[in-house]
Amino acid sequence: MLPLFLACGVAAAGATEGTLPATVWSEFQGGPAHTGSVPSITSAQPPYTRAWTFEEPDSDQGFAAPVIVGDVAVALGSKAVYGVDLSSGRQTWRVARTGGPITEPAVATAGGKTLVLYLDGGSNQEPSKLVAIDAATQKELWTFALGAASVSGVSVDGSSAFVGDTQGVLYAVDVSKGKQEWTFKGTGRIEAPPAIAGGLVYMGSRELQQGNATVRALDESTGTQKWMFAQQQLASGSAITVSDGRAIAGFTDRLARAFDAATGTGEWTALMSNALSPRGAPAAAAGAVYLADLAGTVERVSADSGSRTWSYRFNGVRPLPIPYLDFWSSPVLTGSSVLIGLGDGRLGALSSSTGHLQWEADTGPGALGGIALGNGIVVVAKQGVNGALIGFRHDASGTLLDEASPTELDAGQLVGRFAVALVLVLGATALAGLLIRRRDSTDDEPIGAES
Amino acid sequence: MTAKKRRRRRPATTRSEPAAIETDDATEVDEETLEDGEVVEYPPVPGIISALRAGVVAVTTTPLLLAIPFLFVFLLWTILVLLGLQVPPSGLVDAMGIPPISTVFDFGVAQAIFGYAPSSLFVAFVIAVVRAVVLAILAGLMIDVLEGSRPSMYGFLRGIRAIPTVVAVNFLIITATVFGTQLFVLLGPGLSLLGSLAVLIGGLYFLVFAPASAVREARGVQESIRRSGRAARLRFPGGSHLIMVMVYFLVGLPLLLFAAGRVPGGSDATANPSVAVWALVLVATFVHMVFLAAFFARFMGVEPEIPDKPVRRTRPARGAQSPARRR
Repeated sequence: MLPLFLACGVAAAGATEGTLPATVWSEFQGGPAHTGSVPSITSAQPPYTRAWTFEEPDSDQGFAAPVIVGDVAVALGSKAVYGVDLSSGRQTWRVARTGGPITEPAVATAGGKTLVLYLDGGSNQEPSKLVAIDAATQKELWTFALGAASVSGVSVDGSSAFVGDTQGVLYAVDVSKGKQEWTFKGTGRIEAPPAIAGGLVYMGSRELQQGNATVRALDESTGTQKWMFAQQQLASGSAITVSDGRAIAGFTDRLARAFDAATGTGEWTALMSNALSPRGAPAAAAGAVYLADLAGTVERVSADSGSRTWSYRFNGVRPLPIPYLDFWSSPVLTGSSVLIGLGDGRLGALSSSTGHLQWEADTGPGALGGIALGNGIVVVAKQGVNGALIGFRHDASGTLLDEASPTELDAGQLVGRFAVALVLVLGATALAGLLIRRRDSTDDEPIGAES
Repeated sequence: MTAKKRRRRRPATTRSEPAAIETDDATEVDEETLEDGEVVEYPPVPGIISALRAGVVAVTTTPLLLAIPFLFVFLLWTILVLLGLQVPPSGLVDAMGIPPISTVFDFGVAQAIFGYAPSSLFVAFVIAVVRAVVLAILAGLMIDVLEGSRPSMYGFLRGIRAIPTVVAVNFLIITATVFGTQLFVLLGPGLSLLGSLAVLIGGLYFLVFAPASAVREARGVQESIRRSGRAARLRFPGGSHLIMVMVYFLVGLPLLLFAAGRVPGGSDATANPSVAVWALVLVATFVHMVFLAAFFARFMGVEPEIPDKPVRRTRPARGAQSPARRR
């Protein structure tokens, strides 16, 4: 275990406060803006082979989206936080937690140390606390008590960590000391990690009673509200992604909305096949936004206009008991591929340029959740009774697919299948007609005829 | 009885295989001698089983009555996919349903393409209007067959004449559905569902005869719809109109949709439905056409009894027979 600690220490050695090592998937969707990509990481490209599986040892709930620090994947289970060696999939450390919702941890740096921040507690609506441990020694550095339970997960930008609670309060916490910087009291529940970019913190919340979804932008240093978007009967919004000066989120009216990140002015909307999960976020890079909805549709839309470039539909996604849990995964970009985990345990890779399926694997029952990229490896969280972290690496002997979405029109197939069915049904009805006529007596009277 | 009996403008040509019906309980033929001495003959009112049997005979012996709706369903699907529809094709089983069964399909696909925007309402209406044109023409041809003729240009023209009525029926149903949905939401989820079902069943109950009335009687939109409502409230032998409406409703919505969801490929979103899905969709379309013909057969039977003005319906004394049964 010592070499791993040393490795983490080396990775963090050059890091000053607020500066992360280069090879870090530091939080939900890779970084504070949630774009689902980290250019400095050279991750594995499809086709993949399963490198290892780390089954959750202490409970049957699985893991939230992992983060990656150097050669260690860090994931939160219901009973503990685990460090897993990226090359072997073996547990390198474990820190017990008291329980509570399984949410996304984050990585920060302070005082030359690399910190892992996570939420602990929060069961039965008891208040949660934010915990910081040293990534190298797993020693607890500080805790910060929240006023209510939290399911939001943790976001970090520089020297501040941000968490929201189920009472609508957003907390900014100094990562070096664990002290509160400011709080903002909004409305509803904050259910996804806040996004941070350009000096603003973006938080989404939903009001269960009123059915309102709200997006707010707050000043990162003071917590002052800069703008707000609220709409009734939207029920909830997804996690927020900030890219190219736009804050993008999906809502339960099937619309992804892009706002001017600085002013909140609506820029475009993109209609999806279904609602976007409150636990998911769009991915964005190179003028494109990638959206995944609860029905299993992944779409690429233009970052400038929201117009659809391509769409791919994964069929056969079995619904889970709570509809929005069907699609916990968010799209992640690696090279020229978009990765997505499905509610039925499949991991798929789509070409980012054509939207065609490049590769697909079934990991068995249990929804796939968040994806994290490390150098040469893809780590996927699996939920439910088969909860696990699964590592995939490039398979040089594998085959890349090139399958169009089943929702793409194939004129030959469409006409051919219809023609076969037409012949069958017309033949059957003609036969039925013949039999009926034979049985009919010849003295039938037409309806409404004159004599 | 003050029913106004109209003379047919074109004598029926007797076919070798007429789509004649057997009746469950009435066998006598109603007859009236007009002032000029011409005798007009009305058949007895068919019961539900007989009407459905007449529908099956009419549809299976006249390929045109199937070819038109089959082609319509195929073209509609192709156009909707080109517009961006990405849904499982199971809903297609109701694409050629009798309104308001088909209205459920229209709203579904319009919202799938355009979301919960006003444009989706517009698209639903456009689909309904196009289908109304097809249904009106089918009604003209179908009544030709039920009258004992082959489908003819005369029937086609009668169908064209009925287009405004069928469009109006669709407009009424869409309006009732939209406003009903908004209104019933205020009542809570359970009552909202019941309210929506009531709109669907009520629309079918009162308006299903309107195309037949428009084709047969050429009385204009308003009067055709009124007569459809009055005909619906008459007492039918061999099972009431409400029972037949409920049977069609249960077959048209839950049963066909359930079956479509279980056919291989039926629940997968695709632009290119499988042979099995297409086969079920065509069978479902056949079923819709059989019911349409059956409703028309019942209307034609009860037509002479339809009052020209609304009458208050009273419960008959025990043992008394309805006018339709007396005939």
